[in-house]
Amino acid sequence: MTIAAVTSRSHEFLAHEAFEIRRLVLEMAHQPHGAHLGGALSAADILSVLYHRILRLNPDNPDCQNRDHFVLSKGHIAAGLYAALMRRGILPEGDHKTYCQNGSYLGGHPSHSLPGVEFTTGSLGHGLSLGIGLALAARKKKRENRTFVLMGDGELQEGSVYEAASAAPRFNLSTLTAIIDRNDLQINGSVEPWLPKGALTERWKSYGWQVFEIDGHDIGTLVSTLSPSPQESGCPRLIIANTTKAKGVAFMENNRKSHSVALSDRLYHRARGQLNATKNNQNPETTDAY
Amino acid sequence: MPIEPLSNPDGQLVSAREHCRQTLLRLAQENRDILCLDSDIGGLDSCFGDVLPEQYFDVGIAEANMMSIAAGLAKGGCRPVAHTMAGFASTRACEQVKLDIAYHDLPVVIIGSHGGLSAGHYGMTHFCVEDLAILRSFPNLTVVVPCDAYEAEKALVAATQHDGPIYIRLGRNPTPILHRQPNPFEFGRAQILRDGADITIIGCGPHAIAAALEAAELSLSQASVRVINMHTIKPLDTAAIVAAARETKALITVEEHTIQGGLGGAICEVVAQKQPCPVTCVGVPEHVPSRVGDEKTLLEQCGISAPRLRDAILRHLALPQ
Repeated sequence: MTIAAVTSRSHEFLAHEAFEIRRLVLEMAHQPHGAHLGGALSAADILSVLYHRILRLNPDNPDCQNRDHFVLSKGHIAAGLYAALMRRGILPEGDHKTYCQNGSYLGGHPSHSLPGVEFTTGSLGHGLSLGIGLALAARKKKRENRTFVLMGDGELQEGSVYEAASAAPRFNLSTLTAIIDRNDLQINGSVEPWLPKGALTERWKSYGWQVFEIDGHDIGTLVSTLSPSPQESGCPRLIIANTTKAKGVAFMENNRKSHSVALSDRLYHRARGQLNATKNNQNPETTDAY
Repeated sequence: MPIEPLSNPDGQLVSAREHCRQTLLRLAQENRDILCLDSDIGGLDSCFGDVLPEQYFDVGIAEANMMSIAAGLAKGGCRPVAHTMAGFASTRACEQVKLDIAYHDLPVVIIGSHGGLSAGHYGMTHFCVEDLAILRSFPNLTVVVPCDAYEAEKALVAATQHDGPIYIRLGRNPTPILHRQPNPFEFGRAQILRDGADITIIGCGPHAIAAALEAAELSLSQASVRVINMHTIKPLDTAAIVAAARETKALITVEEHTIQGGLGGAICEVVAQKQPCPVTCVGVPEHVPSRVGDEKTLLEQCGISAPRLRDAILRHLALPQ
């Protein structure tokens, strides 16, 4: 059976779904174990565009052979992935309330036992190589699956990423798209000391990647950059999506403490209020104390 | 079609590593889903890549990358066979083997060459005496140590038809063909090479098995020695171990591997729980050789030799050594 991406989804719809992903992520962080909040919120627009516009998938049969593959290499933002899978109808919405609870199938890092999850991830630096394997297999099997891999910018400190980065162009994997959620923060602070501005694009270009740098919160740009068909040039594509850590919750934005947070009742309600304000185009409060 | 033992009338030594490459080429010509993954180990490009370029991928000197690519290929319906040295497969790329291949239970074949002390002249970085202990602890992963080129061929044929991940440990150097007759090969089913009633030696790999057979001959006038080829470290043939523990007075394990956690450790786990009996583990001591040398020399230094096994046999029987 041929499946197609839902190209009719409007930008307004995709923005709404990004809001819904963020809403669910906040709910998952509102329990004692907390969640990797900042990165899930920074990637919410990317996940919305992928799941509602780009990926060719069948929610009723997530394992169908001609699906597009998505590998969440930055597995610690599992809450964001679960939210996207729920909003796309692949996981039942409501199960997010069990996130990280005893006996839950929704752990802090995603498991391949879940429908719609290609690989168990969480140890950084694996996803791009896994994506190369999936893309090579599709070509070998003469299938038209495309493969998308989402990495974090902190993840690029893992050396195995560059093993994969140097290998993919050798195989002319035009069906492979890597996305970097570049929110410039990791647990201990800025990513920049390890990843100087400007070095990223040149480095990957020199390996043979076709590189795009975009605003990772601009729905229209995400759609237009992620949409094109595989390149005739044979180059794999790297999309550097510049994002804001904890996007949508002003008091946490660009704050490294948002990386992994257990939201108290007070903080949760405050965060929800700020998220709601973004939807209503209101100016949220921006105090930094939390 | 049954696989016949290699024609080897002159007792010529045969490299299991080279023989497996030829075997893989034949298998890949029959099944186009079988893919050869190379990490720049030398020789595969010409013997396989030049013949079947569409089924050959050189990922560069990047073993971790290779393991994850293999997992992706297997997930996509292919049958990748990943080649590197045993030490790089089990330690450098350890996490990728554990998470991406073993946890996902994907049909990837990992061929680790230069196992044990077979790269003796290369030095410590190329010794590999920990792989069995590490890899047998991973879920779903079958761990195999063939004792000659013939068994390696059978293991590879079975591996490419197996619905799960497999690690095949090979040496570097040509070794004798120990099999003279066709024999059935099944993962997890040990082979009794010689029956005996007093002591049982259980080994794996070419030199350990050869030493075990020679020790049995050396002890012939004093002891009846059973020799078991435990080619599969996981799943282990517990029935053969329990029977040996029950029917003979003691077990001696021998392997080209550290005595911590490998075949000897696995057998001790079985007898401790099912059929307690005296066990002597022969293998590489904790401190691996710090000086280089050919494999035979290093094995003798580590006590992996027929005379040392004979000493252990006589000690267990309280006979003068």
